[in-house]
Amino acid sequence: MSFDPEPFSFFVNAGHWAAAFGSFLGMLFVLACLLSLASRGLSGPKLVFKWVPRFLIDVIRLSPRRAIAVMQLTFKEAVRRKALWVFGIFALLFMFGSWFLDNPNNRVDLQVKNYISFVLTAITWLVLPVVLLLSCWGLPEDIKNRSLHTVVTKPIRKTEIVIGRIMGFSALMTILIVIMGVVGFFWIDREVTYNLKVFNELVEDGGEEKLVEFVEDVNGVKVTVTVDETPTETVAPTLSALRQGNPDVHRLAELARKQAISRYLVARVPLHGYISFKGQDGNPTDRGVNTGDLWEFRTYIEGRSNWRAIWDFENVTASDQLTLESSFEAFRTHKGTINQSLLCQYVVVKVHRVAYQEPGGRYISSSEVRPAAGGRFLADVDGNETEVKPVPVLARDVSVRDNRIVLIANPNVEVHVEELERVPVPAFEISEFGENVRQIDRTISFFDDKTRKTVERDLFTDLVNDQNELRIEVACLDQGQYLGMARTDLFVKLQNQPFAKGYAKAILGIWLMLALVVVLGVTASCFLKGPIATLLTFVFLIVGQGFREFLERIVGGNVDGGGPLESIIRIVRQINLTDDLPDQPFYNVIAMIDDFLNQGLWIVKNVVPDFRHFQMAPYVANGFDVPVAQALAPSIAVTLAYLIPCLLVGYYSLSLRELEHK
Amino acid sequence: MNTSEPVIKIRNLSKIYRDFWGRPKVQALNSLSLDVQPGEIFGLLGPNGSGKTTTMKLLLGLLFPTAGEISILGESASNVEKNERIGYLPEESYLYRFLNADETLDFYGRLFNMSRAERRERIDHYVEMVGLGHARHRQLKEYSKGMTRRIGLAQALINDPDLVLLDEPTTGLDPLGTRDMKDMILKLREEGKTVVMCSHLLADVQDVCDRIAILFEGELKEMGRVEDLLKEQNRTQLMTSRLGDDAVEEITQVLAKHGASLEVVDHPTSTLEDLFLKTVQESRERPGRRFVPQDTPESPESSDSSTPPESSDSDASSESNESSESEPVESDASQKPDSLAADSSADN
Repeated sequence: MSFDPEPFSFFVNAGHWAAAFGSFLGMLFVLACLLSLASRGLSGPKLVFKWVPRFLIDVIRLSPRRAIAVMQLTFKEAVRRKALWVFGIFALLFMFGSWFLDNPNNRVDLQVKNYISFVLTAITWLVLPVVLLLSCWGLPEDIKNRSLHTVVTKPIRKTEIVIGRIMGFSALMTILIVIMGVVGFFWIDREVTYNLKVFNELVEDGGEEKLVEFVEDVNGVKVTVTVDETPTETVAPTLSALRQGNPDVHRLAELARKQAISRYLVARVPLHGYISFKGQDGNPTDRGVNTGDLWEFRTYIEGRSNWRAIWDFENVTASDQLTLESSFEAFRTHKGTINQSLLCQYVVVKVHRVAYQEPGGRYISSSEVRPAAGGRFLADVDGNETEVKPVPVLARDVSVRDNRIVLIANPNVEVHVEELERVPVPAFEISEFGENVRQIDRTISFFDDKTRKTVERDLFTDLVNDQNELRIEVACLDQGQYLGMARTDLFVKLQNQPFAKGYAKAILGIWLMLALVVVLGVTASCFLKGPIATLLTFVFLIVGQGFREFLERIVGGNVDGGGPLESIIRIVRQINLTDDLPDQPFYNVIAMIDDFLNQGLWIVKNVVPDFRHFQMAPYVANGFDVPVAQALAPSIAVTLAYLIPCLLVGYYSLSLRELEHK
Repeated sequence: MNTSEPVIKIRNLSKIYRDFWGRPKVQALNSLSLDVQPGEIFGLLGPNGSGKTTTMKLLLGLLFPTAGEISILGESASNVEKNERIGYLPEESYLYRFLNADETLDFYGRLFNMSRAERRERIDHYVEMVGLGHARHRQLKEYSKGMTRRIGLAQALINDPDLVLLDEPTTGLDPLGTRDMKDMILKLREEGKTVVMCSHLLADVQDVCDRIAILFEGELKEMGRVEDLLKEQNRTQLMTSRLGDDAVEEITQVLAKHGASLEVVDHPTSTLEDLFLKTVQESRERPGRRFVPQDTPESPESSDSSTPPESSDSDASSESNESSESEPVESDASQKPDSLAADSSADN
């Protein structure tokens, strides 16, 4: 799993949006003024000024009745253009998809992952071309057929046309997605039920617990029900024979099957923490050991050494037990004990984390603070001995730099972190190719080395600090072996949510993405002809989804080989990517031109929407709920963020173009 | 708007179509000035490419003027609110062919923010009025051209407009349909509406129009009341009761002698077709000749500032000025108003 667990900050992003949108408007205004000045002289900019408030007037005077009329027309048009034929392809895929997806040799959880990914991908890629083509061709076709001329000679505003079009295509897309989503949901459920041939479940029936072991193969059906350690085996040639011959056993088997399905079709809710490491010297560090893996997502801790991975979890609330789920990656330097996985141990730590603040509000590095009598703390501030106060700091506000824990807001200020208590929990073997779920009871008994006694601690009252934070320290116990970890590899598992809820959120993610495609398509179609508008929107989609990371790396200067010109020179002159270019005027000029071109890419990066936000299928496919703060909120924000500028561009494009131009 | 004010006021209107690079491609209109008065049926005539439809589209805001000024119902052509009182029948009835008649009228009715009850009432009225009651639930793609023109007229009237713009209203209609259309146009005038129509069908225009303007190559060549324009001023027509053959032979000398009463002394009228062909012919022969309405100011007024991009501004107006100067008008203001500015003896 590599999801970004950082919650979406609305205010920070709204600020970025306002800055970007403001810059965009400013550039547009200046450009319009310059063009009008060139074409009409001094009266040109006056005309531009007069047109600026018209958009606002149009928005204020927008008539919902007219917008809805255009919406319904758009919807009817799309339906009568046979847009709903896409259901035919959808039906075909779902009728025969299982032929290619079913694999009895696969693990059930991997099969479930395949089904969910297939359904969500199929819905996306079936509806996408429909809405892309319809939204990009609708207005240009209307202009070409001149049916728009009859419309614009009525008292309809251009904003109503653009909004009505967007709403019409969105309504069609909503119907397509909802129907496909519902069908897909039942298809997944049916496929999982059909493919669940072997399961063992402890079910509660009639007030007692019964272990039901179910096996269905070519020989028939075998159900073993164990009550009070007394197994009873029932065999039948088929499931229907079992139902007729032993209805009670069949009922138990179905109960167990439902329970098993609910384990696979689940929406887990993780509480992610903040990761840091402790190095061999015991000092904090931001990364573990690099074992040579080019993918630096995970770093490693060495077995039986001082290396530790540390997670600080916030907002930990009391319950009967703490469930931790991990997916660490093992890196073996030797084969080790065959048939045994690597050993791992959690230590629960209570921490006290403070920064010191002088009366003026300035933070003072903890290394400059010394304790004084009466529980006070003193520091030399501007040459004077001043009393400073400890202020609690959350894990989210600190980071590790140069083996020091510092404030993110002010990396020069060192933070004091003290471990008040350490409680180890028993070691366990990790599953190297799957998830490990460990439950830590609320009451933990352990042998205290200092007092040489067995002591008990309450996990939530004794070990969670005043800021509701809990630290889990992870150690690898096998010498010479390594465990790889990233921030999302360990989390506190909260109460599971129904699978349907996570699935519905993923469908909503698809809807938001396609709504953005509709918005972009309709906007492009206001000033471009159908094929070009389609191409432009598709390029936005592809660049915003597939090439966004690459684009960010280029703009950030993190790609070897330089900009376009430098790359060409390197190719022609066969200069290695990692070699520096000679320090000559010619190459300096090339670098300057590349820098300029890079600025253009910076604009592209900021104009093209980040479609990666809408990828919610991996959450559901991996059995997670779609987090609102991390996934849904940014998707909604991106769609809304593009709506207003697109509306603006669409309005002026339609208003300032001559529909009848020859 | 004052009722005595012209419904449409066009002053020095020019339109130049440009290519992708902004270079002039075609001058569709050149300093057109005309007024349309309330309650009249005004016809725009001209051969293909003369600028009739361009004028109509400039009035509707579908095109932006290169220079000049348009006032329609007292508003700028770019003002959306003016459309509340305008009905427009486009040349080809550009409607949504996947809708049926009821849906079409309902859609356009909603664009006028009409309530459901009002729409229902008007739809019933206009569907019946244009004689499409039997086909109201059929999609427009199944309609004949005549039926499409009828539904086009119904959508143009759905808002009970004060001004109706009809682009080739009788094109594609059979003789009966043409008669119906002309009757409907005359009925609109009776209801006090102003109608502006452009057409190639001169007989139709002659039948219904109060005034006409003849355009040729973007310039106004003739304008006035139909009966005035068709009168042959330098001829006299005598209408008598039935005469014998002998009397006919000697009529010029012995009218009185044979005791026949003189019933009508008038100028004979030609047909609009003759007038049209003559005007076009003369315009070809004398390209600089142009009709100038008497109340039109010689120098163009400043532009309407709210007119969109290609709208007139001081520079554009001066452009129009220059073009007027470069093509001097052969006008003689001392002649009768609304008359051809060239010498009328040419008719002889």
